Amino acid sequence: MSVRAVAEKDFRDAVRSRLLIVLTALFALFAAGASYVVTNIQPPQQAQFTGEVTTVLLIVGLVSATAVFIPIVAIAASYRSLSGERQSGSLKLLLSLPNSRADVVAGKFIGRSGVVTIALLIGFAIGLVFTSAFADAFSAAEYLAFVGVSLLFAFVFVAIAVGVSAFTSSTSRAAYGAFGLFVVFQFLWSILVQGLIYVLNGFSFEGLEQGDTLIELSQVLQILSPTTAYQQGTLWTVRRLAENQEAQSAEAFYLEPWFGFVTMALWIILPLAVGYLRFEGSDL
Amino acid sequence: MAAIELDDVRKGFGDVQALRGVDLEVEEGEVFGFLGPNGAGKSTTINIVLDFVRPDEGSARVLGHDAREESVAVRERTGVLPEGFDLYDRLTAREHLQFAIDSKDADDDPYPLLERVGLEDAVDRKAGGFSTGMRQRLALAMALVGDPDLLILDEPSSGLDPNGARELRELVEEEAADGTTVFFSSHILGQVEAVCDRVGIIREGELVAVDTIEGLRENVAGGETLIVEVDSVPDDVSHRLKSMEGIDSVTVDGTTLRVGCDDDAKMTVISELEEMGATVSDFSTEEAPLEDLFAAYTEGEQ
Repeated sequence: MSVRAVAEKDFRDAVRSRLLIVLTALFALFAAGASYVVTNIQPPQQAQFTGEVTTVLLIVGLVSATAVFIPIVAIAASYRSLSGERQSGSLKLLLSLPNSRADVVAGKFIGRSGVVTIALLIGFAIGLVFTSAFADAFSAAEYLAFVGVSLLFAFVFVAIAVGVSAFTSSTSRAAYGAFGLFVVFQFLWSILVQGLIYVLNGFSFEGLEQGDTLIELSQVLQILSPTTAYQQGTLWTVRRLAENQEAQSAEAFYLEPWFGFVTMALWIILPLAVGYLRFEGSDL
Repeated sequence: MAAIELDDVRKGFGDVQALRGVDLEVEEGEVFGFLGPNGAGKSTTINIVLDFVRPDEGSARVLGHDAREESVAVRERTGVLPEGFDLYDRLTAREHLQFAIDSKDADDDPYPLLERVGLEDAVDRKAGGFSTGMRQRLALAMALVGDPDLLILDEPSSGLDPNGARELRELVEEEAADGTTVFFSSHILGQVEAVCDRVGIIREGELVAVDTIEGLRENVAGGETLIVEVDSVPDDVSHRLKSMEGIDSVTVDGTTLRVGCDDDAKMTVISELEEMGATVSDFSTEEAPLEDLFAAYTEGEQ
C-alpha cells in the first residue's frame, strides 16, 4: 500500500535528522525538570494539604507544562514535512511514483507521528524515572494513561503542522502558520472567545447570565481548543483510573470530560483535510 | 493506442502563457525526443503529463488513462526522471530504491538496478554525499523500477559527464529494444539525434515541428552547405549570389566559398561562379550542423 511506503520512507528519513535528536534531548530534560519542579518546588495545592504527592497530583501539575512543550516538539518535527520536500524538489520524486496526493498527506502524518512518538516516549521514560523517585505513591497505570493522552495531543499538532505544510509551498510560511496556530490555541483562544461574545452581545458583557445561548456558545468554543481538550482528557482519564473522583454528570454533552477526546480527534482530521484539499488542487 | 496524447493543451502562469495549444501524439514503443530552448514549455508539458500541474484547457491521456483523473494508474506504469528533483539526503541508495519498489508494489531487487546505472559501489551510501551525476543515476534507477511501459526523462543528461551520457544512451536503447516507449526532453539536439525515432520541437509554448531528424533536415531551407574551391574569388561574389533564389548565406574563406542553399540551387551556384570568371576546381556538400537545424526552428521568424 502506498500510504505505508510513504510513511515508512518518511519515518526513516526524519528519524535520522539532527533536529529530532535535539528535540528528544530537550523533551527528556523538560520531563525530568518538570517532574522535579512539580514534586519538590511547587507542588499542587492539594498536595500541600495532604503532604503527599500522588501520581495524579503530579500529572495535574505536569499537564499544563506538557501542553506547551509537546506542541513545540510536534510542530518542529513536522512543519517541513511537505513544504520542505516541495521546496527542495524531492516531492517530484515522491509524486513521480504511483503515490496519490492523499497517500502523501496521510503517509506524512503517520511517518511524523511515529517520529514524534519516539521522541516523546524517550522523554517520558526519563521523566518516569524522576516521577517514580519523587512521587510518594507512584502508579504506573496513571502515568501510562498520561503518556497515552499526551501522544494523542502530539498527533493533533503533527496533523496541524502537516496540514499547514501541505497548504503552503514555502517552509517559512509553514513554520509561521503552524506556530501561529499554536500561539492562538495556547494563549489567545480564550481572549478571542471572550472578544467574540463581547461583540455578539452588542459590544458589552452586560446582561449575560448562566444559561444564555451566548454563555453556552462561549463554553462550547472554549472547549474546542485542542489545548483545553488535552487537559480535560488527561484529567478525566487519570482521575477515572485513580477512582477517587466519581465522574460528575455534566449539564451538556460538550461539557462531559470525555468530550476532550472528540475535540482532539476533530483537530486531527480537520487540518489534514484542509491541507489535503488545497494540496490536491494546486500546481507543484 | 498512443502512449502520450495531448489535445490542445493550454497553460498559463499569471501573465505568462507557457503552453498555447499543444497537440502531440507519441506512439507506443517509439523513442521520442522533445526539444526546445529553456523556457519553451518542455517541463510544463511533462508536468501536465505527470499531473504535477493542471492544464487550463485541453486534455492529456497517457497509456490510455486520463492524466488528471487517473494519474496514479499512469504512474504505476511509468518511470520518471523529473527535472529539478532532489533526493533524500539521509537515505541510502538502496533505501531510495526500496521506496520506489514499495510505492510501485514491484518485486524488484535494488542491487541489479543500481548495478545497471553504475552505482554498485554506492549501494549503502547516503545520497547526501552523492555528486550530481550520481544523483541523476540513482533517480534513473528509481525510474526503472517495475519495468515501466513508458519512460519519461526530463533533461536526463544534465549533470552527466560524456561517459555517463553514453551510458544513458545505451540504457535508452536497451529499454526501447524491450518495447518501452521513451519520451525525453533536451535543449540540445545532438543528444537526441542518435537515439530518437522522432523529435518534436517546441518554441514559446507551441509545437513547431514533429518529424524524424531526416524529415526536419529536408524541411529546413539551407539544409545543406555547398563548399566550392575556386582559383580566384570574383568581386562582389557574396552579394551577387545572395540575391539569387534559394541561396541563404555565403561566406568566403581564402579561395573557399561556403554557400548555404537549397538542393535545387547547387548547380546554379556553380554556373554563376563560372560566369563571373572563376574556375571551380572542386566542390562538395555537407549537411547542416544540427545546431543550425535546431536554430532554424527555434529562432527568428517562422
